[in-house]
Amino acid sequence: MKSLRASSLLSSWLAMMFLSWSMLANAEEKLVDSLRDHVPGPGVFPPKGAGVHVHGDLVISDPVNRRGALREKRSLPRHYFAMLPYGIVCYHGAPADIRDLPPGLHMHGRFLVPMKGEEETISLSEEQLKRSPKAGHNHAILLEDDVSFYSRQGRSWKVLGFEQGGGPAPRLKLSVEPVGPEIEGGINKPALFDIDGSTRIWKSQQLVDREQIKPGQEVQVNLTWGPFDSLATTDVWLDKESLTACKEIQRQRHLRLIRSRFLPGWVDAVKNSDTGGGEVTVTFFGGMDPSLYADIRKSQSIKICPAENTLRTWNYHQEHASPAAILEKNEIQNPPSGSSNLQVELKVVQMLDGFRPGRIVRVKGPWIYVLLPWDEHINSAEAYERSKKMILP
Amino acid sequence: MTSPARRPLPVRKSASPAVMMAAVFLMGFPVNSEARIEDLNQTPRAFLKQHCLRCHDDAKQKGKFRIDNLSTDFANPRAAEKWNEVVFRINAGEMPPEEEPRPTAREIGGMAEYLTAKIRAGAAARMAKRGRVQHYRLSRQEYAHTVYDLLGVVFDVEAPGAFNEDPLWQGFDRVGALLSTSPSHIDRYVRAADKVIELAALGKKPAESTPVQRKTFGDGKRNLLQLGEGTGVFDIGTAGRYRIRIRASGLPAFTGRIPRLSLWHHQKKQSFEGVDLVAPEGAPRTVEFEGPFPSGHYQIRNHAHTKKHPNGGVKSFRNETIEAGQKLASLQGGFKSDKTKVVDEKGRPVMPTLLIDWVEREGPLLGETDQAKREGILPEKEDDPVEVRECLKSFAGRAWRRPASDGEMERYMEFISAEQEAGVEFQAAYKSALAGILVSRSFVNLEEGSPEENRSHLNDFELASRLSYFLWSSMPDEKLFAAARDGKLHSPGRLKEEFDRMISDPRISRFLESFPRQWLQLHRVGMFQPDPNLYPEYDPWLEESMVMESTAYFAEMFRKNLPLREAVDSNWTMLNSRLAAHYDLPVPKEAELTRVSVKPESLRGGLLTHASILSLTSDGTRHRPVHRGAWLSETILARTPPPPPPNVEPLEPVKSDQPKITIRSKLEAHATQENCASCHAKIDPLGLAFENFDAIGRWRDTERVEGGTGADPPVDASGTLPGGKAFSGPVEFKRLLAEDEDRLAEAFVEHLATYALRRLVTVDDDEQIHKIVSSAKPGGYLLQDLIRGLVLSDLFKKR
Repeated sequence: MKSLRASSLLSSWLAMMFLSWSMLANAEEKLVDSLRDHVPGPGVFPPKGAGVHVHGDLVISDPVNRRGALREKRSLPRHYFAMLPYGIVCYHGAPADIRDLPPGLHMHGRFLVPMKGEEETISLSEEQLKRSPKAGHNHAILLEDDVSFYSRQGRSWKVLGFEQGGGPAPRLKLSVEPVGPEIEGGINKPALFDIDGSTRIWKSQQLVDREQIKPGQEVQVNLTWGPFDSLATTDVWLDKESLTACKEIQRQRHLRLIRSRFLPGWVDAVKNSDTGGGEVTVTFFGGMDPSLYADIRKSQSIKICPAENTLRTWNYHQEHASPAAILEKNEIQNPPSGSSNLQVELKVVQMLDGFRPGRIVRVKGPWIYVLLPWDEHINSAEAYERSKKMILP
Repeated sequence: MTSPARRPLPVRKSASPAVMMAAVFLMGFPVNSEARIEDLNQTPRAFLKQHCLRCHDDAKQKGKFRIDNLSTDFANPRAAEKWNEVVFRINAGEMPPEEEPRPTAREIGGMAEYLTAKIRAGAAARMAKRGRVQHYRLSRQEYAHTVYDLLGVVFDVEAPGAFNEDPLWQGFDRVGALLSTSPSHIDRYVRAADKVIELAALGKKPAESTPVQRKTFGDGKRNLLQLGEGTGVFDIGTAGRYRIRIRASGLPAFTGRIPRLSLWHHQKKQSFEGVDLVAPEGAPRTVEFEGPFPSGHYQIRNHAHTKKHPNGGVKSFRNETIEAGQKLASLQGGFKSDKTKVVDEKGRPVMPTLLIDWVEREGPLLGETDQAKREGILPEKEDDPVEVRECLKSFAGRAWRRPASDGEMERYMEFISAEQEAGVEFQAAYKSALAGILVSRSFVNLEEGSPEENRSHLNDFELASRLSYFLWSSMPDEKLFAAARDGKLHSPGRLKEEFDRMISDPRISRFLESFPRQWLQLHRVGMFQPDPNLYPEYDPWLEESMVMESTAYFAEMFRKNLPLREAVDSNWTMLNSRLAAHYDLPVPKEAELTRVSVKPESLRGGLLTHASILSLTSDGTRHRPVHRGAWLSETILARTPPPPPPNVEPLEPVKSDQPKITIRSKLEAHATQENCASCHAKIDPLGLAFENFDAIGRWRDTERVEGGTGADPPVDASGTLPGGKAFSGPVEFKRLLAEDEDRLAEAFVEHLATYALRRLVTVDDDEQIHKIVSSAKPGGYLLQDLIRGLVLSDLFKKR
């Protein structure tokens, strides 16, 4: 009798433990699901870790609308994507834009489901969604090449040597093993990358021969498509000096871009005035060169123009901007992903229609105004309509 | 008591042989400082020697006033004025200064009495010295009103090249001594007269119907105008009376600010008509304006915000056509995001917004009354010289505001004959003669007096003209002419009857508009445009509203016959939505300018705290308390302060390493330095009482100071009136000022007399002014009583 009671007590306890554990597991799974499937809203940055990781070769790029497509595998459908307004591109470890990425470059991205209101930007069929479960996560908060992806997370490659591959298309391969922590979405075991005469090998800020690659060296690489879903090297950096030089070139390129297109952010709050002016509070998007934010910080007066989620502006964006005076600068502590640490309160001379909470704006600092290529602007109602959806080739 | 510091009359040199001989004899010899006052009796002479000559001789000449050589020829008006000043100063206790030995009250009384008697005794002699006939030229505005009342013609006197601007004296544009006539004036009168006769279209049949022109904005479209935007709607080629109809919706901003629909003259850059329009977008209203319009290009404007903004360049808002059925709330997002916001996040208009459907222009109109003015001017029988002469005489009688004689018509008859002999058609020759009548001295001037006799009083026709130009800025009407012809206008009963009739006539609006504008010197509003960097809220509609507030306030005082003290202190004012926003007061329910009660803590009751008054003395960047004090002294107390001495240093801006200080602190020298204090002790407190109001009349507790270190300093609006009464701020100041009703009334009647008599008031008018004021005192100095008192007084009837 006593033993029967004891065993039933034990069973109950075990059942309770199992129930608790499965509830916990469920909750965690739900949390993971909600993070993965988090729907970004206008004016609110997503939580850290939201979305899914997708990688692939850049096969389509639309720099004007900040859209493109990655190809993960030969046989998989393309992963079409649009950059979120605060989405950042990194190339060679520096802030970049879609236009800076060579076609075919292997990229890593963090993708969320579309923002509220942007569900039709990339319209996919049921078939496409079924074939590729991640296709619905098609709005990128981050897009980076391999060297940016790995070096950001403290990873590099140790050269083991060269190998001659076999099979129907025998190719020379660079044998490497990972150095540093395991990272989600990355290659976390030894790998073989195709290498041939088209690979750029950098040392001491110069292009050198393949003979300079020696086993034991710690290197960084950028990759592209290789036959039979392999990865081929485009660049191998043998030292930090060379990578730093390439990073600086890209940094300057991006500075030139933002100074002419203006620094993007969005409107947090608006106070309209009945004489046509008012006050606008703007948080700038993050991930760009610190000197850009510093330029805004030291300005007394700036110009602000409205923009679309593609960051595109209207004709002659300076003329259609409102002059504004900076009333206050606020430092955002621990900014969320996508956000910078700078928020400004502006007094605008003209309250433009695009200055509404959650809408995108671009702010001109003390930079020389240049006219942009006509096709970058939204010039007509027709162009506006066309820009709303990605035309899938 | 006459205010002492008015501009003196033109000097009439004394012709006394004794003085001339003395001048010849004394040339090259040291001048005896008491030569002039030797004529006075012993006691007053001793008084002057003991209390005045120490400072007011040729050695010191304190205040630039010498008594030692002051003429005692009391027939000389200039001398009489100066002695009057002496009387005023010693009576008021201002002289001798406090630090000097004081005469006894008895001594002061005796001196004042003696001098006053002397002044009075010289009155007749001064009168006798005046010319027998005085001419007072009509001002531009009076000319325009006169040709309209005479012929029903709208003549734009302010068109470029039409007439010269009239010079102003303390804001008054009708002071005869200043309105001289030059060859340029005659040239313009000739051209104007020809034009007026042409526009009168005498002998032509009026059109059966007047043309109506409608302007729309496209089929099924309306024009959206945000603040400050305008759209051209029509041109007027010939000035005249027109009827303008506008169908529009007016949507207040989310703050309640109502749009002002303004009919804007593009070339003159001013608004001719307007209405605060509230009508939902689905239920537009038709508004109608009828009146005289000068020629030019007209726009409908959403009045108005300055187009400049602090960073330079032009600021513009939406001015575009939309579909008639389109809701404003749909005008957001989409392709037009780089245009200005139309509706806010709750769908309400961000700015006051107008939606115009169409605009109609009808005219030029010729009503029955105007048509009637033109009848009987052309003779029916051109070859009947008797009829021709009679028609001319009748026209001249109306134009000259007095019966014309046959003899006076001779030259015109001769002129017509000569023209006809030269081949000119009769009508053309006759019309030229009519134009000649309109150029003649008797038309463009008010004539008072006659060459044959030295009259002290006006005749009935002169009185009728004086009365009609006072109340209507125009010629007498038929009823007033009839009273003059009857010879009964001088009788108090008849004069009162005419006065009461005239103030009930719609034409009294000309007085209610013109007099306060001149008295309060409102022409100075906006003379120095406020710097848009410092005062971005200042706009043309605010400026217009400010002036309207003050003229409407006076009109309300007149219509309700309120006591004069309410000009200085009251519990009400006239507000529209623009002014309410400026003063931070609740927006009135009525769209148009309306009377609102204001709480004492709002400080906006009475004229003195109107934005117009507070801003007209500013220099565009800051307020000027001394100018405010001088304005108040001149306008409310009828005492013009003397000008500052030359080479006074301007106020320095605050240095960047020094703490911020107020303008008041910089004016400290006015109180501490003896030379400054003698005048500024009387001027500055009157302006410093309003330190809480900035350059455009907004309330503030601290004064914004450019440069310097530290916080903006708090404002100090306390002070002491010249009589010794202290005040802590504008509320107390206004109350103290309003309590001195006798003084306010004297000053007001002086200004009214200047306007009515078209000349400066002199020492000889003092007694009459005093009588007018006394008669209104029992009633509490009601405004209409004061004005009626002036009209019924002997002063009004005298030349």
